Amino acid sequence: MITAGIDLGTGAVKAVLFKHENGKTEWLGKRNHRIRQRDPLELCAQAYDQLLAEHGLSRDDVTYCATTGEGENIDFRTGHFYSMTTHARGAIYLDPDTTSVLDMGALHGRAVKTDSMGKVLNYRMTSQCASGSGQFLENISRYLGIAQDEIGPLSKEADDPEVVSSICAVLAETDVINMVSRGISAPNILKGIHLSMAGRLAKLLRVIKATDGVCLCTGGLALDSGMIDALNESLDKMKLKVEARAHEDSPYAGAIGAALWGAYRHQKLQQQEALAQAS
Amino acid sequence: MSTAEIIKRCEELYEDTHFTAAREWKAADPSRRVIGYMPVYVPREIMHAANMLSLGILGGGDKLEVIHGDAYYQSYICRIPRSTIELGKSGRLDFVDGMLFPSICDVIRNLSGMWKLMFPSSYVRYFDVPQNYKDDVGGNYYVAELQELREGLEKLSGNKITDEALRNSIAIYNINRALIRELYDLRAEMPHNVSSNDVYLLNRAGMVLPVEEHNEILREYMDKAAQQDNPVRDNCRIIINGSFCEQPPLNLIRSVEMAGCYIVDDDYMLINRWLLNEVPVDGDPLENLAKAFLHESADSAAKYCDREEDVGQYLLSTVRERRAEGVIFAAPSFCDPALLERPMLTERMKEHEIPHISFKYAENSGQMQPIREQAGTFADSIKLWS
Repeated sequence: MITAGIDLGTGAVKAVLFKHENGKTEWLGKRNHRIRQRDPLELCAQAYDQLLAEHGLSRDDVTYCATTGEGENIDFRTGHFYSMTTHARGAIYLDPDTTSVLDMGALHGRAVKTDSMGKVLNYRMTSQCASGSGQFLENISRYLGIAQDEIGPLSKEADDPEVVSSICAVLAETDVINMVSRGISAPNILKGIHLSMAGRLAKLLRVIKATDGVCLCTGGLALDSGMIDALNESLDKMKLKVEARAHEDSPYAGAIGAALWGAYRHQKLQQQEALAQAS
Repeated sequence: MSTAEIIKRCEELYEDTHFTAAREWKAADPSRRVIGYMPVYVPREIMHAANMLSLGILGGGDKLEVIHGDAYYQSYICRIPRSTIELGKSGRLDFVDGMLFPSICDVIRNLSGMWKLMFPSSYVRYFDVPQNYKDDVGGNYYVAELQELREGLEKLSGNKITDEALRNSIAIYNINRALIRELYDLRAEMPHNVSSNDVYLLNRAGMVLPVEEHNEILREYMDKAAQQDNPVRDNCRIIINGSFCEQPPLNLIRSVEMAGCYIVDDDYMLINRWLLNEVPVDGDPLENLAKAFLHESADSAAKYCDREEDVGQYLLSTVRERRAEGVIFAAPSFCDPALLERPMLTERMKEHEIPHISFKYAENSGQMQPIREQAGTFADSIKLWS
């Protein structure tokens, strides 16, 4: 059985393929397309078809195509799962020690407490204010003329981080402009932003009572090593016995979770003799 | 017409807060009269027999800006009476010859009194229904109520409402109810072909169109919808409960569907399905209507239930009949009947291990993200853990 997971995020489309045979699960492939002002639904179809073609498959070979994120409108889906459900499952797949998840996407931050099966026990989201999001960090790095993959290493070089507003992106951007004019170094600015965002996310973990164990960071921001360090600092400061970790495939956690839940759901429906048909 | 064209027409009717279709119906013949009514139920057969159009007034929806209406109510009152006053004060109901205010709650009862003061030339009636279901008590009372309504409408129209005309109207509404039942059955059977958006708009069309035209629309839609071949999604089957009076915005219904739920039953516009079976056309028509109300009518929080153990039984039987996997209690903010009954209903659901969630809305609710999130996570929990 082949299942697919498509995570339509605010900044990127992630698609994965899984093969399930004799109780074993094999991850066949993945694709990550930045949206960059393109039609997200068309991009999903494109990513999905390219991924299938890479593995000599067609849509008809897929038993269950599961969407997540903003993918409710993808017309070729079999079913849709919500982000907290899929990120929890994806995180358990990537790191079985996971007890909580921080989904750090382009627009939202989301904390999820999970059990070892990927069942969501509790969750909270940040408000829609962009100062807690990857999009904000991306904007700032562009203003500072820093490439995205340089953000993490530079942040780690900070010796005296400057704190920015953690409430509002507009105020935070003003803070950054002031810092630049005051001659604050880029590492200290970036670290300040990381700490500000990390503080908000750590509070979310405390709210959902994820106070110990491993927290796997997912979403695009999880690959920012400076952010992970800042998060661990914030967790320490808040006396939470949580270890924040990232996985190289963290951005795919939602899509992975969708594909795995799709397989689970298919088997469940098969037992109930009530299969949905993938179009 | 295709199903899309039918639904487009229904949506135009739904969005028209000036009730152009009803105005045109009335303008076509000077002897015609229009009687407005509020949820949940009035016997439309009596208006029909008097050559009147019964016009469902379900508030102003999310497009109407309420200015006058807010001045009449405290902040802890629901929105439907405010927007109904707005409809009246803004002249949108100036062609309506009378208004019926059924027994839903104190707010609507008070609205009937306010309407009398605001529109003294209009025929206004608070339409009470029995709270005793014995034929010789509640039945006699209800027949007398129906007779008073009949006489009031005769006076308004200047026409005698004969038993024969009433029997004919009962027969036509029997067809309408049968078609609506068929529509609900069809949706429960193939929700991928018959969306809740469509069912809702088809029901709404019945609020403003003559019943004969509504019957034609329903027939045509079902003929076409049954032949469609839309993909079956892996959605869960849920029932919406608590939305019998103030209506949710259409976007809310769409959001629940989009979040992965097939709505297989609901209590929107219960008037279309209030009488559960065919009303006999032989014999005394008012007695037949009264018996149908007493013994074969739907249930809602707005209907008095004289035995506590019976509360929720109707919902439970609907869950079983529709093979629903969960219930979403969606009630308007400050809706006393729905919100007071909700704890009893949720208790029933717990007793029978039926998954359920609750939220509130107003007819002008605009933020659908929290609704999508709630309905979506509910759908996930049913699909994966139920």
